Amino acid sequence: MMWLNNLLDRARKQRVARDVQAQVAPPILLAKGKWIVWKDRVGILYDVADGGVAAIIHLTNDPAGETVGQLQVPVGELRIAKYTEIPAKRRPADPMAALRLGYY
Amino acid sequence: MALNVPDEGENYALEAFVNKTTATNPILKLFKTNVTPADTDTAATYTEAGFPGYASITLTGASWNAASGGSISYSAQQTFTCSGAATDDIYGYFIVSTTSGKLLWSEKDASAPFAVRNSGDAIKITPTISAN
Repeated sequence: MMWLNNLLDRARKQRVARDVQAQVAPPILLAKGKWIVWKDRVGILYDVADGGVAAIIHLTNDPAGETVGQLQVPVGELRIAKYTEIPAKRRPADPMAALRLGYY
Repeated sequence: MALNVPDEGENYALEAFVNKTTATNPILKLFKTNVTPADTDTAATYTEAGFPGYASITLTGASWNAASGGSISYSAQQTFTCSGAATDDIYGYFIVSTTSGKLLWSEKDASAPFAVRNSGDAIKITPTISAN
């Protein structure tokens, strides 16, 4: 019966691993062209500078999503925008499509 | 910023890569609103130029140079020439597929805007895209 216990134990571990994998959200990486938020201001990551520690961001208006200014800020102060923070006219109509891009 | 391939452009490229979608000639267009390209963009994100003499340009497949080093460029510079008084400020270009109208990629020029005001004013672009 030892072999059966081993088999069951392995199956249990695999199921746990699968469950854990399903529960962990994928990492959402900052990248050029991503909607970001810096200190409650919404914009787009335009580029990086200073060896990657600074971000050049284009601030946008709402609802049009047009560019209204440019700032250089520390990369560490940025976060990915939430779905509802993206300007209305540039927000994906399908929330699932937005979710796949990391906007939740 | 280098050119931006939005989510729908990436999906289009993947489907063309495996022949699920038949590739079509891309169409080169200018946009006249101050929009920074983002990954959520679609063709509707951009307001197309409308100055006198403006017309979008179809980029035919046979006119692209062979890809090399992860990059491919169009064989000739494309020129949009104004033929009368205008008020357009051009910020960049966007490229859509012929039949589906999907946004393939877009690019805002770092030196934009370019004021198009008079007959003879011209915007010149040599389309190029790199995979790395």
